[in-house]
This record gives sequence, structure tokens and C-alpha cells, in this order.
Amino acid sequence: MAKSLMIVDDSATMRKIIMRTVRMSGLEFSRTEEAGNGNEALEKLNAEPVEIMLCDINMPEMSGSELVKKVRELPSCDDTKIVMVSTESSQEIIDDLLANGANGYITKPFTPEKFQEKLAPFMN
Amino acid sequence: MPEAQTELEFEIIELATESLETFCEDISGMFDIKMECTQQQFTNLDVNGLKKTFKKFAAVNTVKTEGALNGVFYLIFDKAGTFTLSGIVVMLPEKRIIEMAKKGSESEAENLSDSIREMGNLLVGSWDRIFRENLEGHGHFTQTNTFIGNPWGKPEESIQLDSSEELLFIPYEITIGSYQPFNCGVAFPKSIFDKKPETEDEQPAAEDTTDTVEEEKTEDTTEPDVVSEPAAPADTEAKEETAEAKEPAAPEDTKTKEETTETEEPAAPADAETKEETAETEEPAATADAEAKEETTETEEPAATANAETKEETPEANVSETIQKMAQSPADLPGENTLIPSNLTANELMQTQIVWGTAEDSVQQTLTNMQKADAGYILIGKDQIPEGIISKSDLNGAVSPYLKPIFAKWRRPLDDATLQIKIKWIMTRPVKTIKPDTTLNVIMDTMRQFGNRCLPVTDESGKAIGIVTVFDVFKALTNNPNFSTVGTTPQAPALA
Repeated sequence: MAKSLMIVDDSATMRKIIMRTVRMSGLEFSRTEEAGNGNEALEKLNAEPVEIMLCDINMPEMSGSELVKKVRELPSCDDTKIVMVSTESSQEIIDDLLANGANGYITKPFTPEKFQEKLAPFMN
Repeated sequence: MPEAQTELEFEIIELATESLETFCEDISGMFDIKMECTQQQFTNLDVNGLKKTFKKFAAVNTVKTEGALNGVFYLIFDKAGTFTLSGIVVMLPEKRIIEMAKKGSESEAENLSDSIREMGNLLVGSWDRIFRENLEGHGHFTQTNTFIGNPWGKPEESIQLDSSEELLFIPYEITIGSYQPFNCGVAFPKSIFDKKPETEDEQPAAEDTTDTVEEEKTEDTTEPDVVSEPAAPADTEAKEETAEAKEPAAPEDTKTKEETTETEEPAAPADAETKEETAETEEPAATADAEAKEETTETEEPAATANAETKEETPEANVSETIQKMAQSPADLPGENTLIPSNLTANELMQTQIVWGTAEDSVQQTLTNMQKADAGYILIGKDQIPEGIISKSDLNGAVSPYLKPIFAKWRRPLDDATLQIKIKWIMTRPVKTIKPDTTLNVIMDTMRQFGNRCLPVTDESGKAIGIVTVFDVFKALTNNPNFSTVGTTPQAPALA
């Protein structure tokens, strides 16, 4: 069954690129949402959780790291798989994210194949 | 001191070129367009020198660097490059991109600032990756600012560059598809090379973590990430084509993926095993699919056989039809589609030695526990109540395939980080359980129906007292004289 997806990135361009690349990867989603910041993402998740969330790390207002922590506090998002998408790749930050509930990461620049590889395990 | 600096500079020039080539490959893969760069003669210059190259318009990405290089450096695109790249990113029509590359104004660039900044972000991502892999002591690159316009009037204010600063400048010519070639370059203030590289052992854990996955078989994986074939020579004829000769930016579904399939890494081998367990889904293009499809076929074949049997055969049926049917029909294995005459129950089949873990454990801890106990499955829970179950395949699917020794060359700190993923995020839950008196037939049915290869056996209070794996079932079947095919020849169905 197709899953629902949310893309959280403060750049509208990057959201568009991610959406396009996800489509190119061949993965199909029943519903796709976008959020320009952490608060908007939480608002939308509260209204209707998604199964997979692609999240930038470096965002104003609320960082990706903070957002992951807050999403993990939402009981309705227990099963939401969070994959970070960022150029940020320092070991400490990635470790911190994974320890706080992120399920994976994709580094920018990415390719459709990368999305296929990282998201396919969550599509079942 | 000067000698050491020169060596470092040469090393950085090589890495810069490799980084930009990688960026071109990345963009080629992301946007299905051929992008190539050619390094020009590097030189020492100052801001005036940059001004001559980039004239009155440039997009300057300021990159902060720590570690072997300390300070900031600049990745600069000329006007044509700025508009071409950002136009491709936001998928503007080709004609529009060409117009803007020639005559685009600062205000038009401002409208594209988000994509120009993101392009810089992607650029820094590629550079950081290459430097991390190849420069000892490299810390981190961070894009701190993207200036769009004329930075040369007051470079101290616009890009925080002292106009008297001596720079090492490496220029490049870039071609993208049939667009006009454009210029970009990287400018390293000489002061950035002052500090000698500090050796920070980035991968001390690599040895240890390799051990944890050492026993993994590497199967049929091909080339890993960022290993790509050399870019083909630029097609100079294509460069000269006019905008009219080309179609507008192709829509996504009409673009071919030839380049990306050649250059990108293969589907992770670990995925193969993950997918194996959930054969119901049909994911395209993964190497693992072969196995998944095999399972699907197995479940579908009996139905096909049934259809073949019920369909009326006529003497006129031609030979090819018969051959086709033969190919579709499985060998008639004894016991197929019938109940196994066996009174065996889970109580007799199960392994009573259960390995337990907690949801807070990391993948690494769990892998270690699994290896120590030589177990294929770990139950997750407290007080013997299974809340989740994790298989070796699940773990393999969660960790980066680059942790395998064969990929050690391409291994990055990010790959190690996957060992820290918590089990609670990847375990299977809820857990399908069976009772001790569940019969072999029901166990097989349950496994087939739910796609489980391991079923915990629970007592009346819900506590796990054992597990039955698919191998326990195999063992029971092969020991069953009513089912075992050992010593017999499977019979093909009779021809019509």
C-alpha cells in the first residue's frame, strides 16, 4: 500500500527538487505534504500523521534536530520514519539525529537512486 | 614552510577539481542532464583578478572551512552560470534560461535567489564529501553566505574578502547539455593554507565496526557510491546548437536515466535481504527484486496450475501451447497443496533459546548480540513479553552497505553512524505469535500468510517460551517421510 510523505525544508526550491527526485525514483506515495519549517510540519503532523518524513537539518526557527525530537514526542507519529536530507554531514550531528529518533539520512546532492535505496525499506 | 604550503596547495587544487567533477556528476544524476567541467590554468591573483574574470555579476558562495584548511573560501559562478544552473534547478524552459544567461538582470537573479543558494548548498555538499574522503584532517565545509550581484566594489562588505588578500584561484569552464559554456572558479585566500593539517582520526571506529559486519557476504554488488566512469569528452557541436534547435526542458517522465544508472551506486545489497522478507511489494529496478519475485511466483504458481488443469485441452492444441503450459506448470511435488500429515506442534519444533534485546539498543549492539549468540532473530521486549522482533536481514537493511570490508575504500563517517540507529525504529511490530500447540500446517500457513520467517511461541500469559523459524519448519518437513522428496524424482504433469 502506498505511503504518505512529508517534505520539510525551508527552501521551496529544494522541496521541489526533492519531490521531483522522489518521483524519478519510482517510489509512489498516496499523499504528499510540504512544510517550510518545523512548526508548520508539526501542525500538519498533528492534523494528519505521515508515514515517511524527509527533513532538512539546517532550518531557521526550528532545526531538523529539534523537529525530530518533537515528532518523536507525538504518539501519533510513533511509526513515522524520518529521513534527514542535508548537506550537513558532520559525524556528531548525524549521530545525534539518529540517537534522537531519525531513521536515516540522505546527503545532498542526491539522486533518484539514492532515494530509492534509502526509502524502499520503509515502503513495505 | 613555503614548500609545505605549495604541496598542500597542489593537493587542494587536485581535490578542488575532483570535487567540482563530482558536483557535475551529482547534478547530472539529479537533473538528468550532462554536466562537465574542465579545469583551466590556476593562478595567484587578488580581487581585481577575480573582477576581470567575473566582471560585474557573480554568484559567490562563501564556504567556511575547519580542520586542515581554516577560514573561508569562495565558489564563484559567472552570470551565465548563475542563471543556467538555477534555471535548470527550477526547471525553467530552455529558451528562458538561455535568455537570462545572456541578459539576466540582478533583479531576475534575486527572483531565483532561493535556487541559486540551493545550488551553492549542493555544491558545498559535493565538495565536503570529496574533501572528507581525501584530505587528512579535513573538518567540515559550511555554506555561510551566497552573494548575488557585483561583489567587487566593496568585497569586504559583500563577501568578507579583504581586497588586498592574495588568492589561489582555480578557474573552470562548465558545460551543461547544449547550453553555452560558462565560467566558475574557486578562490582560496592564501591565509587558509597557513595552518598545517591536523590529523584527526576520523575513522577509529571503522576497524571495530567492520568486524561486526565482517561475516556478511558481499553478493553481487557492483560499484559503490561516487565511483563513476570518466565523463565523455564535451560535444563541441552540441555546444554550438542554438536554443531553437533544442526542445524545451524535457518533462520528468520523458527523460532517460542512462547516465544515472551508469554512474550511481547499485541498490544496496542489504536491501535485498530486507525485501526478501516482504515479497508482496513490487519495487522496480532493485537487484533484490529477483529474489522477491521468486517468492511471489511461488505463491502464484499453484493458481496457474489449477487454471491449466481446469481448462479443456483439445487434440488440436499445438505444440507451442503445450510447451508453454509445461513451462508455467511447476513440478508436481508430492504433498503440494495438501496438508502435511504431521502431528508436530510448535512445542516440538521451537528453539527454546531466545535472544532478547531492548528497543533502545543500537543496531551495533544488536548485531554483536546476534553474533555472540549465533542467532538469526532477536526478540525485543521486557519480562519475556515480545514487543518487537528484529532479524539479521532487518539489521542488514538498516546499516550502510559501505560498512562491508569490500567497500572500505568508500566508507565514510556517515556510514558508521547507521550502526547507532535504535532498534525501536526498525524492528517489526506488532509481533505475530503462535501457541505451543499450534500445528505445523498452521505454522506454515501463518508464515506464508503474514510473510514471517520467525514466529515466537508464547504461553498463556503472553510470555515467549521459544521461537519457530522457517528453518525449523524445513527441518521438520525433510524429516517427514510423507513429505520429503529426498530420493524421489519430482514428476512433471502429464502432457495433453
